Amino acid sequence: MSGTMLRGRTVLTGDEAAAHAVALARTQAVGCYPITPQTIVVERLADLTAGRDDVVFANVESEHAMLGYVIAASRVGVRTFTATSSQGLLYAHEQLHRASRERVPVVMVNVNRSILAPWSLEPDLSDSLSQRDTGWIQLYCASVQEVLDSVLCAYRIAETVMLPVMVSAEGFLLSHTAEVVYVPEQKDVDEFLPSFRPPDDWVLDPDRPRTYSALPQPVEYSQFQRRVAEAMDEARGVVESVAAEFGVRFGRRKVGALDIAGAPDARSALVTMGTIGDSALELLPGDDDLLLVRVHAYRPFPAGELAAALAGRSYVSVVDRAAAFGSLGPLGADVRSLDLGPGTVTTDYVCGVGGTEVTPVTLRWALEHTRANAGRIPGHDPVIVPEEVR
Amino acid sequence: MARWVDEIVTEERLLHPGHAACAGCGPAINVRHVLDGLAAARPDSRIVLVIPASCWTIIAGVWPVNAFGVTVHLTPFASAAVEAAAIKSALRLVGRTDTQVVVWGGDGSTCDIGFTGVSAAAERNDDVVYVLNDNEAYMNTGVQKSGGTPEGAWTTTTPAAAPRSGQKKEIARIMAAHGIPYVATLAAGSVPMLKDFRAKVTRAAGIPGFRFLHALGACPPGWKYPTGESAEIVRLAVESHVFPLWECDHGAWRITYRPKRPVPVRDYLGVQGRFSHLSREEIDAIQAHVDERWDALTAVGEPDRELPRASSR
Repeated sequence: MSGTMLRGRTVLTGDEAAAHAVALARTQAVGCYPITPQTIVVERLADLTAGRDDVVFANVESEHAMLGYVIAASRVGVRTFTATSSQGLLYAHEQLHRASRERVPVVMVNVNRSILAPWSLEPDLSDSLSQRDTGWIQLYCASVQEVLDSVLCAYRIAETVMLPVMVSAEGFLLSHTAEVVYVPEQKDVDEFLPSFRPPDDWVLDPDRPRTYSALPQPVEYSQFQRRVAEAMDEARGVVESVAAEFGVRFGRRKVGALDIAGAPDARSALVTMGTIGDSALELLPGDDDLLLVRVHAYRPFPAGELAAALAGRSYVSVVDRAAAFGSLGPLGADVRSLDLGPGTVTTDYVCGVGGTEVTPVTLRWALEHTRANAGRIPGHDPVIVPEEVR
Repeated sequence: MARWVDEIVTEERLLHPGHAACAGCGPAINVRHVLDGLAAARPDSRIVLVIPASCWTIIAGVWPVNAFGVTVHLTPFASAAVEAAAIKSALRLVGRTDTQVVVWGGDGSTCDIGFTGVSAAAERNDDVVYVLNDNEAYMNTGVQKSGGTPEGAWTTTTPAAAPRSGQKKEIARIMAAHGIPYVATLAAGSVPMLKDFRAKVTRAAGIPGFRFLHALGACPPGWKYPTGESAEIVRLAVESHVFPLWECDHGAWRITYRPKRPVPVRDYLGVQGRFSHLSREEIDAIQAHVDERWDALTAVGEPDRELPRASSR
């Protein structure tokens, strides 16, 4: 596909779908530093932008530099994109905090990959979940189509609330897996996603000498952080409204914060993220006592919607595809923070780490474990699923 | 001397009075000559100043005050060079080609934590002016050793009982080895040196691509000397061959200021408390290293002229 966009119904990998969405978004500046399994995203974008005067594709020297590049370019008022994975995301950590606090609407694809040590190329969510508190909106995908659609929605969300958005897709399971996807027409995308028009006061303007990110007094510093939190709160509604508008315009469903399936009044509920949510769908045929909830928008955390979905369930099993050291896994901790009442047992399961396969067998094991051990697992301890359960 | 300065410096000052630098801050003198010189060389241009973590994060002003007459973009420690490149590229995308994007980065940023970034920006030949504001240690955090700290110097992390060993990183020569269009060293130690300084800034303003200016700035609290001596100490650094003034313009090397009667290195070291612990033998060793570096530099450069000195006018 070197240099040419595919359109309509076609076959793309997750990485290629991300690159298509970025090109359709008329992104103006791309920061690039390679890491497996993100590489195809930036390789395709290099091809798609080659020779164009209206796009800058910057090969820079590290992920820290790459985030610095897109943050600074965004401040000038151009639409930006970057992509990374695993160690690269961790290397850029300092810039992640700064991007949200500078209210920079960067969109980044993170191709989830487990983290050192020991070395592994296989997927888990430890890389991006450990960036939970950096102030980025985080969206987790379960299909190649969702990668493409979420990148387009990410620009709308980011530029509405002026916060960065990270779209996460598990390595190889999505990045290198080809699926049938629908690539929208440019004119439809242009109508859905108008040009980036940041607030005048925010734009770095050579004609108006000011110092950006200048050191404030403590009260002003605190007020800047408060505004980030308020923007994150605002994003809850924007994630939903953008998904709804996307669905109307493009004629296919777009998940907002949560993807809910199964029986709303079931006794058991399974809470997942990413491709495990797709695997979980295989549990539904023949089980009319199961509710599936896949968390697509992890930050801002859809606490209200999730609590409403889980209220009245007797057994809630949460699946964390991330290592949990000394406490619950990230998703488990968030679900435990909901006030579900004394009638609900919630247990957190750590599995799928380092690319360990998670099958319906694994998920059924977790559901049965929650029922069998109700009241016997301390709420602050995760259950590390035996690796052979798959 | 004031008369000579007035002849050189006639333009609007882009570092405003009331900034938060220490009394006698050498870099404060340097930054205004850099900015005023770049502005004067291209009167229709705008300047965006990119500053990594440093004293200048503070000196730029407590929010919402701006001590500069230009737009300032503050960055983390390690990413000033690449962010300057990003701003330059993005400004082109929005139709602004009239802006000079300038980094004002310290020796810690440039020689240590941001070195990869400076080297990469040079290798890409990004269209920015990178000015190394060299006060030879992490001064904002209270005088800790950096890659720019000279041999033998006391800092709080190289105390007198275990002073800095090894040599100051030869950062300007390293940058020249990247083959970038322009590299020069700057020191505002005297009127002739200031004329040299301003001529190099003017030259840098007129060249596209990555330009690297290495400005030595004396720091009274870090170097331990009276606040009124900042220009004199920098003058002695040049006159002793400790900080040679040279340029490399598209590969052509030139010593731009050749001291007529070089002073011994001890005259430079002796007026600064940071070197007061050194023995005669240690000073002799430093003298030998300074001589070796000067000989190596002059062997590379093509000494072709001396700048006029104030006394000869």
